[in-house]
Amino acid sequence: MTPRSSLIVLLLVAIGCALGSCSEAPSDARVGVIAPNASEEAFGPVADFLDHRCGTLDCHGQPGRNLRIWGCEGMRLLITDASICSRKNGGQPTSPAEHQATYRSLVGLEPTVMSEVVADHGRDPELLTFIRKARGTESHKGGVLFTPGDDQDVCVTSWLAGKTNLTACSNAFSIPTFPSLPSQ
Amino acid sequence: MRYLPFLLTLALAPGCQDPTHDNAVDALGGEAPGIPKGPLHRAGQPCLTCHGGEGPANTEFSVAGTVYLLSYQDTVAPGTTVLVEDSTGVAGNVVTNAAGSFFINGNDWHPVFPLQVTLTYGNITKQMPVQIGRAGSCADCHLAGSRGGPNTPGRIWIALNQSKLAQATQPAQ
Repeated sequence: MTPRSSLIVLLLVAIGCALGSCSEAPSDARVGVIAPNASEEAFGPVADFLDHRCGTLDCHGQPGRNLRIWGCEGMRLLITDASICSRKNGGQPTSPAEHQATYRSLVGLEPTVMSEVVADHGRDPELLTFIRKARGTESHKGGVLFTPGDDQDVCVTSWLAGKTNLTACSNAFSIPTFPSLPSQ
Repeated sequence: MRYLPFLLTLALAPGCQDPTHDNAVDALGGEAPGIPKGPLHRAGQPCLTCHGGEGPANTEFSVAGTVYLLSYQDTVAPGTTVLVEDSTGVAGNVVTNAAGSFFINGNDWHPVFPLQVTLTYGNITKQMPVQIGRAGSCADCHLAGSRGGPNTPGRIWIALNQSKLAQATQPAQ
């Protein structure tokens, strides 16, 4: 083969590779995710806790965040709703649709890692960035929020493990504790 | 050659500016007519945009905001006691001024987030139902002129309506 014909063959191979890389995936192609339980019973309490602890408007209750959390304490899904939970103050409690929006945001952050964690029954939740950030093992602008084994941590990790600890999720709302209020 | 360090500093100085911060400051607009710069100016605006340590204001605040009397009206609430409690258990009180504004000087206290806030106006005491995660400016979330929307709980208010406010005793000034 002459140098010139070698060059032509090389060029043709390069064009073929380039064309191949531009070919579209089938429109019905799906990437499977082994996802944690999305039901209202299993994820609703976790979503409510996340809204309370992480989803305020100055933190993850913002559309610009990678992890977006919806709920009545922060960002609302419907433009007609306000960031107010109490009905008597003109608000609406967090809706199941908002729980699902938070679910999709959370699971969609690292779907392959999430699959691995869930498939392994949540044995190593710190594979997930959001757990590492909450526990402070990775830099987090919002600081260290969870201590492994506390009610906040158990609420989320028990959901990842497949059995949401509802008591932990309920107790998690009282962390951190603040000094008692003045007598009213 | 003698002036090289000076010229280099001059050349690099614009690169140190934060255009996001500059835009946020510009977005606040000018001072309201008749209100000089000082504790009574710019009620309802996000105070820490300028007073957060990045300038242009010299005084640095850690927490600051404006309180209104009613949920639907921009009438300010002077004399409101604002109790700020931080997550380490430290608490402090500050009282709103004639413009309804309060501020905690950064030299006095930098509370550790998250924070819990309680307002007392006369005999009305209201606890903020949501913790503050990291914003020192109340108006980052509590937009003045708003009753609430998908990204704001609206202004900070003492009473939902006039009849509730009428039940309040006047705060001690």
